[in-house]
Amino acid sequence: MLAIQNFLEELRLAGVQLWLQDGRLRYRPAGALDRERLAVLRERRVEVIAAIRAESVPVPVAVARPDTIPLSEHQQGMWFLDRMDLLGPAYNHTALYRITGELDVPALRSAITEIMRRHEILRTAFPARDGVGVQVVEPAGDPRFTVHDLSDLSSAEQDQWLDERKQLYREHKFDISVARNFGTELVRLGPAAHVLVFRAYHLVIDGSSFAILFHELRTLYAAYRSGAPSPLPALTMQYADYALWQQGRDRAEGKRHLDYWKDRLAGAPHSLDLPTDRPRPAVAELAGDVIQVPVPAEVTDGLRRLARQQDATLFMVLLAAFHTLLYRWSGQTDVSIGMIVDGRAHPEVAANIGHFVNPVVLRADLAGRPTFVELLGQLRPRLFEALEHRHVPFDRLVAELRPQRDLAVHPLFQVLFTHLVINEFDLLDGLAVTSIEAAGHKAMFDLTLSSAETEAGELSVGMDYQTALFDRATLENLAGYLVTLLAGVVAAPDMPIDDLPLMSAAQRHEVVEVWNDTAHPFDHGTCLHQLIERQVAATPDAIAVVFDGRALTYHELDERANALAWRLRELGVGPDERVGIGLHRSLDLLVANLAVLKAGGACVPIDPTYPIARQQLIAEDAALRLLIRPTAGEDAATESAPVLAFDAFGTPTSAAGPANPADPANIAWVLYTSGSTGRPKGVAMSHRALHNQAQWQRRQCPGGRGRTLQWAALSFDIFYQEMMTTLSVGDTLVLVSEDVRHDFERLLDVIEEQRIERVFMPFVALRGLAELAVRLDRVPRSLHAVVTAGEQLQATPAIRAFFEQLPNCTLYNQYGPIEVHLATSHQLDHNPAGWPALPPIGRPFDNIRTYVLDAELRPVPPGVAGELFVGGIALARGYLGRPELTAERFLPDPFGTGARLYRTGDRVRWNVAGRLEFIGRFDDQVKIRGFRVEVAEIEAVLTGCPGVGECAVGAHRYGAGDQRLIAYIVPDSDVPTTATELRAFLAARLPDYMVPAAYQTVTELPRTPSGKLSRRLLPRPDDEAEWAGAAEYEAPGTPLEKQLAAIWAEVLDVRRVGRRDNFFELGGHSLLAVAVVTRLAEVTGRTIALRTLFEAPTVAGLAGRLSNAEPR
Amino acid sequence: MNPFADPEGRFLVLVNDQDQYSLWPSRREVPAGWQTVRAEDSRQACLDYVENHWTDLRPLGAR
Repeated sequence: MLAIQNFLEELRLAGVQLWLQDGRLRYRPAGALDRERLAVLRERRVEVIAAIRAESVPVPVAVARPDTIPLSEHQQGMWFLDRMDLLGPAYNHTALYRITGELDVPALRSAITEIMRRHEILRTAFPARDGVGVQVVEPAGDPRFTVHDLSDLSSAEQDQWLDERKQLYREHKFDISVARNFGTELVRLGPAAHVLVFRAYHLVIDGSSFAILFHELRTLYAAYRSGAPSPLPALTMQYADYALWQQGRDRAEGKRHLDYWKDRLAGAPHSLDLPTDRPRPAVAELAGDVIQVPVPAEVTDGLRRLARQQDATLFMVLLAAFHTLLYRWSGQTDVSIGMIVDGRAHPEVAANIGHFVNPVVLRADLAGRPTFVELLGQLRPRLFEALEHRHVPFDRLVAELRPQRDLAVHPLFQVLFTHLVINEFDLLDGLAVTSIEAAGHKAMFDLTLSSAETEAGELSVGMDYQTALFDRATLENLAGYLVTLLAGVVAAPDMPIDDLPLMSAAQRHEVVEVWNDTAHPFDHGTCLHQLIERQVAATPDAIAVVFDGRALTYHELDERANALAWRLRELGVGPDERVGIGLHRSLDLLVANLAVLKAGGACVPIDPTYPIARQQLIAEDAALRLLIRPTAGEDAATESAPVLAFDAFGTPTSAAGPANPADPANIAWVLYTSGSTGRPKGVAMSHRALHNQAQWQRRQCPGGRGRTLQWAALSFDIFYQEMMTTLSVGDTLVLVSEDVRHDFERLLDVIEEQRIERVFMPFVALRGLAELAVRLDRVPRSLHAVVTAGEQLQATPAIRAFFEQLPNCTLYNQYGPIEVHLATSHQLDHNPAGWPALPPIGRPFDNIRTYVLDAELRPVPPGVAGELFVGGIALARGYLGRPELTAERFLPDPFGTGARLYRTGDRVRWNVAGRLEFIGRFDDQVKIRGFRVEVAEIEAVLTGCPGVGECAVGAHRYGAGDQRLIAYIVPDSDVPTTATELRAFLAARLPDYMVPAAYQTVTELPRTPSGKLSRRLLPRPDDEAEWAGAAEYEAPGTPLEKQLAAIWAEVLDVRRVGRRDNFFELGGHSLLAVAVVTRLAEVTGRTIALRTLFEAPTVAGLAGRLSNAEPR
Repeated sequence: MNPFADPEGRFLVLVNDQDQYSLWPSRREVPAGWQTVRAEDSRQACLDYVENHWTDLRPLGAR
């Protein structure tokens, strides 16, 4: 049975006022009740009347007017924001109507005059008195009724005039300190054609007010036309009386209501992170659009039936469905939806125009796979509580819960649900009235979900959205999911909400099959080195590799590799045997890699720039058969494997290599990546997967080939991509030294001198190169393909400008964790200005399948975020020697037979066009300059440092998208370890990109309620944090030192920089160094080479170099 | 949460015809081409089973 109290509350929520007049039930507005509700009222009239009588709500009464009339609680927050100039014209309400037929203008004017007389609020000013807003009512008489006669203009001129006028309505800034917050305009287009315009500011009007306005206008116009007086009953209270009554209410009661909300909303997420189509602007942009979709009649009937069975209403069922949709769309289980409730709870103000609305928040917990019926059961009491406590002014609540205002998101809720009562203003005493769209639809929230029922019982749902955030196609999809979801709810209300359908069968087929239709013929029998050997036979005299003025032809490369391969075979290297390659960038490096492959073994790059401890760890974990090092290598501390000293130019050559001992299923490389369990893990990749990728890459145009710069770090999978995609097609790979790699100015020299056609670079490096090239006006004309991967590409102004100047150069955005090396690619078009800020990562390439799955491993629809799973000829064999890690990341493919999928941990979604978009991570993994970092691994090492009790590592963004690691330490002694010591400890054990920039001592680490470390709650480092590079503080002395220190502080986003501080230890890196050089040129007009900063990395040092260079 | 990351989850251990092992959430249907070799158990017990039984990570085709 439906509880009567609940029914009454629901009606109020829907904007329906219900009261007793002379013992009879009355409601307003007319037509607000659908058949279902009318039937309930009729059947249970006696109970309803009893319930209304029993309501003990204090009744507002008009009291004597004091000198100062306060604002109502509903108005206070808005008034304040208006005074602060934070609102602008966002709260303008404009309603336009075309009236066809012979309009009686004097009668209309009289009706408006009477309405203005009846409702004081329409002639109220809101000046400040002693800094507080007050209401000042002006005398009645002036209807503020303006007539514009356009009947002399042509139809086209009239349209143009109206369009301009609409723009004015939209942009007009009401001055609330004068009583001009409501006005009427009548535009005369011809004898039988008019446009009627109501313009109002939200401080004096709300949605329900319009229904009252239309009702009175209709009644008065008809009466005045026939010469009759107003038949409308006098108002018992004015808005000002209501505000006075509110002011006199019980304070304790107010506190009880406020406490409810503080308790109810405690710990709610800052925002509902809907997967937007574009990054959120820093200040919300309110331009909006709306779509409307009908709900099929049989679904609507089913929803009504379900509501009855569950002692609920259609309204509640829709509310629960919207919560489900938002949860499934965002993946967030803690979902708050706002609802605007009408404060006209009392019949005394039921007929008043004015601003009576107040938002309330309905927060639902969707975790734990509740069924839809269970969710309904959870929401029902919440709804009634919300209504009971609805009188807490929203701005007061915000002030209590979110005192820091964030202009980007609406506080407490970002999605609104409204149930529309359709109050069509369609007839004026026989004249046809049709609504005209006002200019520039405004969306006050990220998304407003609405439901509307017609009198005939037809249900439709609307979605009102901010166009800065969403595309129309996205919302059209979402509306489709909602309709499918509602049908699913009807079919199986006892199904967990996680299992309810969103996609139709056809959509599912498209996502699972059509977008994964990547099958392409592939030669399964060839190993990687055989691809290069074919090229050796085809173009023996072409240049294969260039480094530092020396070069090897394909023939020379092959002969040297053959000789080394024989030697490796003698030393026991064969299929699946790992061989460490501890060489710097050199021709030898390429010879060694090819030789290891020819010997059937797997390459394990050991970056010689890594700390010795790290190199040893990798050598041990990989159980190397042997380690290749340079002859001259005196830092050969790695002794966990036999060392083979190698110098290609001091070694004999061999025309033929050993017979190929490997199968394409054998592994070609093992690459180490950061491990969340505290030590790095080796990913073992087969020849077959790399061959498939190289074969696909070759077919790309123009990215398939070209003279290629070798830029990738030696331990990156991209190094092998550069090598294979260049050497398997007969092109030249150009190596540069480690120093040149980091000095973009010299890198530009090399690109120009060597006529480089293709580069592979992670986003941060590409951005650095683009910024410098654009600034120096040295965009390299030879480039025809740039391939970026490793982290989310952002189309920054510099990157756009770079490609604007290179119309023949194509940018590819590729994606793939090391475990699959490469899975998707997206080729950007040649219109950089039109690129999205965050370009997609594209679609799976040859013989690769990608699935975006929810937590139940089911495909999610386009637009919905899920976890990316990758299958096909791309998967690594697994983690070397780590079966348990392999078994939880490489999973059975539920869409195939006996195949595996790799679970990436990346949060992505399909866009409408079937391209994947990267959103973020599901875990704590971060990308530092393109390198993948598990902070848990850093924590594991840091815990071993003397003096460290507990610790945590977090990543924070600094400046322009620069991510930096910060360590938080709970010391276990009274003499804390210094940041310099901590940094040195880590630098001896981890690669430099894993060494945090700042060290903050804390007394405890933030924990979740279950006691787990919460990295999300790690604060930004405060002023107490020690930046490792900070020497004992010594203030900058000379003006030049002061300028330099200021530039560093700005670029690094640190508070204070001393003259002995080291730029790189403060968190700077080569990409930020570009920013320093740029700023220096801007501020001082002096240009320095990038390498000067590397050579003199302290403020004092750099200032010294600059002074010495000064012409005297 | 992803079911594979749930420390409290219940799992099976499956093996395919390449002798590759994997965890699988027990409440979901076993995908085609995979055999259950370890009945439902805790995550850790299943991982321990994998560690003890999957001693050669090479797929059958590469042994």
